Amino acid sequence: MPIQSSILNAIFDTTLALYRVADKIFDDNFFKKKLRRCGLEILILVQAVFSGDNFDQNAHFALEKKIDDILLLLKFGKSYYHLVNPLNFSILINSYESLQPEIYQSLASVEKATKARFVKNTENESDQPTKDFMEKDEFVYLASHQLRTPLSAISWYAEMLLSEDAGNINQQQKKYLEEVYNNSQKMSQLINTLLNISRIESGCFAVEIKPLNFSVILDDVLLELDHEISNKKITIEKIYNPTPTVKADYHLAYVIFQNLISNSIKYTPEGGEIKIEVNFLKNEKEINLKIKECVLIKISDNGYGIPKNQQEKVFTKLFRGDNIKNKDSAGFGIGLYTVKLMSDRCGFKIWFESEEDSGLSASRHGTTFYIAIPLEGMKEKEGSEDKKNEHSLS
Amino acid sequence: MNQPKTILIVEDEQNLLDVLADKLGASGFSVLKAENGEKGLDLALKYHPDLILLDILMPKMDGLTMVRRLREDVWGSTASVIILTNLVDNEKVMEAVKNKVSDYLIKTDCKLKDLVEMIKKKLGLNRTFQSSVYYY
Repeated sequence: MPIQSSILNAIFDTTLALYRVADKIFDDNFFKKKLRRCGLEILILVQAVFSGDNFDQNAHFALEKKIDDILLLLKFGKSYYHLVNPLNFSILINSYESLQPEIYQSLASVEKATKARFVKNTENESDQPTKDFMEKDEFVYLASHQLRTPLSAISWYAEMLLSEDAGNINQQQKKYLEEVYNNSQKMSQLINTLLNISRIESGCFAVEIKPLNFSVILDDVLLELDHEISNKKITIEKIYNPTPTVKADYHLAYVIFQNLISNSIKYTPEGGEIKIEVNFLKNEKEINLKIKECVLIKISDNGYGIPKNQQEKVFTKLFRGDNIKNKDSAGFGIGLYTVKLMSDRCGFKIWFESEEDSGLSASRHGTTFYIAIPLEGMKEKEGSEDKKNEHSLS
Repeated sequence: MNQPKTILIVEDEQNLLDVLADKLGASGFSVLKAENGEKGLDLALKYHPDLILLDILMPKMDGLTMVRRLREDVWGSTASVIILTNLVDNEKVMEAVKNKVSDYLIKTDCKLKDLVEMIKKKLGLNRTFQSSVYYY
């Protein structure tokens, strides 16, 4: 059941109004960027729905989610800016909120159809998968809550001491407390990664497939990592050639690129270079893959590299290169495992070339990761494991 | 400020409840504490706090049930509520938004300092900001 075009028009108009509000925010901060990005995603979705293309159901879900996102953002913006800058957040909130019931209604009918299909699919196998799927999902989210609770206590108490609420502290005490605080932050990132892994392993990672432009995702990742990049004075060279869009899950693709690029930053010394290339390959001879057409993404650095005798273990759980163990203590050895797991899930093909830094200044060294994304895109799986994609590629 | 603003914290983890109360107390607020939704609802309806900081997963009565019940009350229907939890779940966020919760924050992503700033702004108490404007 298609979304009514009158609703789409209303969403479109409201989102344009949102842009005007975003433009009036004088400081160019994370909030503004996020607001604009969210708005852009809505506009793209609306356009995708208008152009038809058998995309109705995913677009419904995606639009509903995006409008939830933007409402949360706007509410945050309203409380944050209401004294600094009296913008018309309220009007925007009202217009999005008045659109919601109509989207819900049309979504409800789509959801019913999807659920019926999901139940039918799982009934064919047995009753077990649905139950396991629910239990694992439940476990994952309760575990996330349980692990985060003691962590919040650690970071908040450390913050209390650091802010000298309980009396003055000296420089050395401050340094030690900062270590406690920073490491609790790292731990919380680690929990997020572990949750992602567990969700994928148990096959219950919610996948939402839509046409993606990978250059946009890469830019989103670079925006997030901006701080680390400038901290290490790393130069980023971008070569984005035009490519068609490919149907895939934004979140999975984001995590893959985020892991690869942040690895490149971590394992490249200060002042290094990272090169990101996006190409569209039409001729299968160009790459030695059994894929006809693909988008090929190349992420290369001139960093420490991976020792030759360890290269086959790179994608295993808890792998860490011998040469970087004492250079960076923040690594856990699960980043590339996550990448591999997610690539398999998406049907992406991933491989790398690496030359270890021998210490001689003239030698070429560094690591290049390649990700080939078949143009046919991701298949819809609706949460259950389906190995077909992997076999057709390996 | 003439009379300190009152904040009700509803949180079942004693150590988190304590540190939040300490921080908010030190920032000039008067603080009420409740360790579950049931007690939270009682205190809210009795003392009408200016703002409620609310956890979700709690024994006896969870946070979202408490908001729903709060909204049935005449005063409670417009009370300010901020969700402060470690539960990341789209359904919960949606339900919270439907119950007119003004913010949904994740504890591990949130600094105490930012939380205090945000509460001050929400209650119109950002004196530091106003005074800095005068000095410019």
